[in-house]
Order: sequence, then structure tokens, then C-alpha cells
Amino acid sequence: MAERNGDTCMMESVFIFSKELLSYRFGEQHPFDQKRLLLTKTLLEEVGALTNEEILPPRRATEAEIALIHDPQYIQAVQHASSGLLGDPEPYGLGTEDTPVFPNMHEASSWVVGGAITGMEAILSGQTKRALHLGGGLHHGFRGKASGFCVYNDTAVAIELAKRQGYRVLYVDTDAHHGDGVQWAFYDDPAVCTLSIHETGRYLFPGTGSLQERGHGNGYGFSFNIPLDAFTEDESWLHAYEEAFREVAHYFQPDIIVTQNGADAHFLDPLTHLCSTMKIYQRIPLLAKEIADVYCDGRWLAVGGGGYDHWRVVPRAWSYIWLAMKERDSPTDEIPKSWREMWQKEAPVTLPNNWDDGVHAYEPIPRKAEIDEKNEQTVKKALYICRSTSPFKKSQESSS
Amino acid sequence: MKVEEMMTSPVVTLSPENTVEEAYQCLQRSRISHIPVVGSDDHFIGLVSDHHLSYWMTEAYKSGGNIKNAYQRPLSDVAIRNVQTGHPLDFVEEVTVLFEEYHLRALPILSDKKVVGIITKTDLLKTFIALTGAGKPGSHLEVRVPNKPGNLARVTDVMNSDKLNIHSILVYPNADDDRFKILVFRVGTMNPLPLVHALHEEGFDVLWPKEMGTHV
Repeated sequence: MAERNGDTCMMESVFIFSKELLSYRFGEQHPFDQKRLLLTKTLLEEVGALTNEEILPPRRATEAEIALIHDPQYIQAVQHASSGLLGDPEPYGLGTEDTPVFPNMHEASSWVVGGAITGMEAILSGQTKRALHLGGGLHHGFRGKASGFCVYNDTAVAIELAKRQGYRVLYVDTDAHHGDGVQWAFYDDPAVCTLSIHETGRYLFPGTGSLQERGHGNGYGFSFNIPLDAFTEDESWLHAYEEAFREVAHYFQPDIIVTQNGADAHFLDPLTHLCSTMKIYQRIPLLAKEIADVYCDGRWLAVGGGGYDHWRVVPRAWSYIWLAMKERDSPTDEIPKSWREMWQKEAPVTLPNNWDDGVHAYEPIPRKAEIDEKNEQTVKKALYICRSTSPFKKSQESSS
Repeated sequence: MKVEEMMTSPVVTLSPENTVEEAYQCLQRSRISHIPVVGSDDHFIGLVSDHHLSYWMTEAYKSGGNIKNAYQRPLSDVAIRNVQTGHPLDFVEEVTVLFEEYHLRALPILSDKKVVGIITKTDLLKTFIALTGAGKPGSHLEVRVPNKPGNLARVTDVMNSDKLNIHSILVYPNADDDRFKILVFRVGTMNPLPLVHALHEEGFDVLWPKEMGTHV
């Protein structure tokens, strides 16, 4: 890989945004709401952490780029559905309660994929070290089927691009739902390692993400899953995250980190049963940045994902990612009044006063000790492969 | 579900002239636990397994026999003859009862006296996993209903009006109160909340998903 030229006008981090990303919208009643992007962007602007120069507008992905991951028939089905021409949407997972058809669905989804590509290209070309694409992270998108609010799998497309340029990609998914689409896309691929930490599929959608899903063929040992019990709290969640991320990174020796930052493991999230607070969202990006710095010369693409309390939880959680990228301290005190005034009228809930959730934010969990113990065992079993195999050596590949 | 839909077929078999040593090699090579022994015309004669061979070798050792000779004994001397077998058209429920009653680990499936398949405990578990609907994207839903006719239909009616696809349904008795039954569904949606609200409105007791703060 080429050395980057230090004297070019390089931005350390870029924030991918344009209003086209807001057009990915299933309708008024649907839980997936990209107003979250505006809420986060304005919050960052109000704390003086985001300027126009740092915003990189995405380009739209081409069909050929989408076809790096998706079947051409599926892309065609989405295009037809977008213009009301698709006969039976059911085989493609479209027209369901989860992924209803909306006008210009293909175009909107192409912008989402384009955002991930724009971020990835900026990193690979050395224009930046880190990119944040909050409009992306649609990790349930399958090769030939929409699923769980996701049409095209933007993140998988970006990973495929990096892989084709010879990068070893470590994908870390902290959404409360299993990152199934990305996992299956690279399940037999030893150049892409996936790590997903999520609420157990025993109860929650999509149901996969068990310990035993470790990859297939040449990709065996490059897929890690940590299914946590319902009602898991900060301490146990963070223990799983820290141990797993550090050990998997050491074992896999990545060239670039891609993180999916669904913000639905919070106790206020209506769709899941994990019980974290803002604490984990402060820590998640700090460790991602640290590991990218240690192993990848800083290269880190972060994407969004789930998060269904979009007023109270997501803007704070996602702001922390950008603040970590910018190496700014994570605030825990008051949220700017100006931001709350900007949005409170529209919000059906009271916007938070503080960045932190504080202590006693929710009722105590009755079986905490057992849940923590079970999670600890899960982590141990999940990391068994890292602990019994010596790390990949980069020198095996590059002849210096 | 019928046995023929879940059995392993074709089956690795050996003949009565094969030796104990060859049976061991075959178990290791094919990574299996049981081998039916078949005669000419593929007629079923008996069964050898990893457990049974180990037991047999231990007995040979204890009785002071020559181990090398023991390894060379033909399977006609060793195979278990009187074993439970099944038929391809048996129901999974029936053969599961056989496994439980006779403490079986594997069941050769015969048709016209010939071995056409084999089922192991693992196959039964795989079938159980498929029955619970795991493996397809969906959410878990548990409803407690009075143990009276018509309640399952009422619940699925609500799902139907929400256009929800059901991956699996299990019905089992409420552990310590037989006035109720528990219905367990895997439904094909990431957002079961509208369904939960609709079920509440119909007066159903939804055990899962619980809203945060209201759990046990």
C-alpha cells in the first residue's frame, strides 16, 4: 500500500451527508426514520463539532456497484417496484410490513449505497482516514432479498470494494440485531472477518447470529457472533465488546475497520430488549478508533444502522462517533438548549437534558448476576478460535 | 413429517466379512457413529457403532484374548443383530418415541429388508430446529391463551389482518396451570409491536415481547 503524502490538504475525518440520504423512507408510521441524520447533524453543529468543510456529499451508486453484492434480478425487482411495475414483490422480500415499497425506492437505496462507497473511496485513496456514513448500515440486506427495513446492503458493497483492492476488512456490528446480511455476504471469505454483538436471536429478529456460525469453507473461523441475553446491561455489554474486538483484531490483523453502529441496544429502544445506557455509545467509537490506529493506520469507516428511539437515543449515540473521530472529548453534561428548542416542538417525547443517562435510569434488572455470567460464557465460547489459533501474519502475504 | 424426508441416504454400509479394524477405519473416515452391516442383496443383518466396538474390544482385552486377533474378527461375529428399525413412511413423532423408549442413538431405516437410510439423534434435533422456525428472519412471540378451542384461530386472525407470515407455531401446556396453553410463534417481521398492541386490544396475554420495565 502506498504511503500517503502528508502535505496534501487532507481531512482526518469526513461526514457523509446530503439531503438525498433522507429520501430512504418507508412512510410516516414506519419505525425506521432517517430524520435521525438531521437530528444528529444539528446536534453536532450546535456543539461546534461539525463544519460544512467536513461534510462530503455522497455520489449515487451505479447498478454495477450494487451488483457486486446483489443479484441483477433483485436489483431489477427493486427498480420495477420503485415505479409500481413489479407484479409479485413477495419473493424479493418487498411489499411487506417491514420493507414496504415506496416511490423511487431504487434511487433512494442507491444513494445509501453510494454514501458507503464515497466514504470507502475517500479512505482508500488516502483523502481521509475516517469516514462516517450514518445513512448506511443496512446490514439485513441479502443478495436477492430485502429484509428488516434494508433494501441494498451498502456496507457489504463498500467492504467488497476494499477487499478487491487487497485490504483485509474487519467488520464490527454493534446493532442489537444480528448483522446477518453482511455475515452471509462474506461467510466463505477469509479476507473479511465479521464480528456481531447482538441480542440473542432466541427472541429477537432475525433469529440467527448463534455462536456456532463461524464461517464456511475458507471463511471458517472468520465469522464471530456474540449473542447476549435479553436485559444485558452496560458492564456486561462492554466486557463482551472490549474482549471480542481486541482479541479478534489481534487474531485477524485487519487493514481497515468497518463498524456498523445501530443504536438500538439502549433501554429506551422500543424494538429490542437489551438494557444499555449512553455509556456504551461513548465507548464504542473510542475503541474502534484505537484499534484502527493500532492496526490500520487509522483507516475506519463507520456506518449507521438501527435505532428506533430517534429523538432521545440516536442523536446522542451517533454524535459520539463523530466526536471520537475528531478526537474530541465525549461530553456527559448538558445538551445545548438551542438544539432542544430546535426540535422539541416536533418531538412526541421530552428531549434529554444531558448527554449522559445518569444512574438509576431504569428499574433494576432482577436476574443481573445470571445474565452477566451467561454472557461471559458466551464471550469465552465465541473467542475460542482466536484463543487457540496464532494470529494471521501479514508477512505471509507481502514479500518485502 | 415422514422419516424419508429427514433420513440420511444413501448410507455407508459394510459386509459381514469386513473386519473390526475396517469398521473402525470406516467410522473415522466417514465421521459417523453407526454402520449397518448388510449381506448380499443389501439385506440388513445388523449394526455396528463406535460405542459397541469399543465395548467389544474392551471385553476381548479383559478376557485375556489377543487384541490383534480381535481386530481381525469379521463383523458377522460382532454386529448387534436384534436392533430397532424404522420404515421410510414412519412419522417423525413415532420414531422419536422409539428413540426415547429404547435409548437409541441411531435407527436404520429399512424397506423391503434393505437399508435405505439411517436417522441419528442429531437428525432429530435438526428437525426440531426446523420446526421451531429458527433460521428464517423473524421475531419470537409468546401468547398465553385459555385452554379452549378457537383461541389459536383468534390469534392467527390478528396476524392475518397485519399480513404477517408465520414461520412456525408451537403449542404447549402451561406448566403449572392446565386452564391455559402457551402459543409460541416465529413471525416474519422485525417490528412485532403493532401485532402486540393488536393482541392486547383483543384481550390476549402476550408473554413476549415485553416492554422494557415490565418484565419478570
